[in-house]
Amino acid sequence: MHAKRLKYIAILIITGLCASTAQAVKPTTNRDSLREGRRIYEQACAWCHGTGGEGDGPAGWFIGRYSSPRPRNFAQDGYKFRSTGSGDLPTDQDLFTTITRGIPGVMPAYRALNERERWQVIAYLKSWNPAFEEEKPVPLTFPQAPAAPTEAAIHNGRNLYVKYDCRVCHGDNGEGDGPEATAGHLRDGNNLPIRATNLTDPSAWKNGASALDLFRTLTTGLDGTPMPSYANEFAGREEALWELVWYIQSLSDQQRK
Amino acid sequence: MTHDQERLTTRSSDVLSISRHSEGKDFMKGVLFLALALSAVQGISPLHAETPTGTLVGRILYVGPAIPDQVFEVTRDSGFCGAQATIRTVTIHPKTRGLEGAVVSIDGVAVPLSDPAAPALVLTNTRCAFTPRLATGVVGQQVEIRNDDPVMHNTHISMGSRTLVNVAMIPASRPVWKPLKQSGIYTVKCDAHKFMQAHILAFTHPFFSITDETGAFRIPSLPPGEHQVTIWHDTLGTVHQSVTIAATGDTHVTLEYPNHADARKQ
Repeated sequence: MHAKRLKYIAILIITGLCASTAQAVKPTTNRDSLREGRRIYEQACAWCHGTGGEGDGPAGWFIGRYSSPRPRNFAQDGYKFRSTGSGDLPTDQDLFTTITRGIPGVMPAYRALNERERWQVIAYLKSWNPAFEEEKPVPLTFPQAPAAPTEAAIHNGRNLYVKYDCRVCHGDNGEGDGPEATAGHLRDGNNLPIRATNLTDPSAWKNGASALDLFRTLTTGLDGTPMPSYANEFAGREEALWELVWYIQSLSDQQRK
Repeated sequence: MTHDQERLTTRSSDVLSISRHSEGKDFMKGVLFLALALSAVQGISPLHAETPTGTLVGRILYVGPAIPDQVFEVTRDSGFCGAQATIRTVTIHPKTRGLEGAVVSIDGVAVPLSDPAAPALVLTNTRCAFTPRLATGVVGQQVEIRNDDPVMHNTHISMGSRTLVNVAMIPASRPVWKPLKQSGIYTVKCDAHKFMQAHILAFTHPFFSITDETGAFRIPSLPPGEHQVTIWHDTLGTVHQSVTIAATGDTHVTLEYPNHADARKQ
């Protein structure tokens, strides 16, 4: 139990560090930076994502072969981790955040690359998908989290958790064991079996573990997975969405008690 | 593409041409390009009323063996959705043998859309099914998603591995709008009810039609000459055929879906 608490604290620290790096200034993209992005990509990314960016690197033969997630195909896949609406491309800042943070249990954090190198890789991987030329992703506006939640707010969040059928996938206690998950009904965009996230273990939350991260995940959904966007349901009711966020966070707090 | 797909049956009254790569086709492309260039200079629509156009009128037939309906066990909300859901795969008109719900389109005609502000395609979750199950539209057109059911749905529209939109639709939700971003075949499903499925086909031109209950379709305002017809059905797959459109009036065709397993896999 103590180790779990330490892991949770580590997640919070990493999240804080990422928030600071997310302010990095993006350099101009030109032929030289693309060439440098390719060099870095082939050293750091191609093993999983493939030299052509199609998610078919040598490691792709055993990563995501029979279950989600498979390494991203940069030429055509949608993106899970975004600040943009459902179905929209991510902003450059979203990509920067993902590369900096990594994805728990899936992709390492590339903080060893300096910021300039991360931007160069982003420019290179975007060059495979013409949609980045045609679409201009616009980030949604996310409010700052209000003050610490009350017991009543968490109770309201539980009611929302039931109302919005979260437990059908994530389980009644958030352990990722809802009936749809245990029946094996959940599939990703490649039709691979995918698990529902265990909400009692923040270290496994791929899109971040802060309250704002949860708010963002619930708003944008996770494209390419069964997790939908709830933006329409909570439009103009941000306070209710915070209550749902706090309830989800309380699930891991409850585990520690 | 299989040999059977190339060999769509033609009837005596048809004016179909199997030859795909004829010199005449290239010539017509050149003529069409020249016409478009001239019309752009003059600031008029390429298919102006004075430009001769023809109409493709026809019927899609399916005379192969019956394909059974799909039956799904309902594991969620069965109190409202029912214990089983039956999806009708192939609907044939008893008299005409016409295939309902096939999409006929003519691609490769470089004509811009005359009405980019088309009304939204309304896709409704109703009685644990999508209505309609098949829709066609143009790139840029809005899809309006609604939920009339007292249960929650999760409308998930995607093309390949890219999501167009994936939204939770609780009972009495407000509608959600999303524009069609690219041409192609969108799959619509509900992650909450696996038996719910539909398709939206998006085009960059106006030359498409869905066959009615008798298998009939009609595509007007076509430039005369040889064109490639694409026929798509969610169970039977995709086939292609060349057709020559007359300079004026209707060109009648009757096309028969190949009775071949390979075609149905596509």
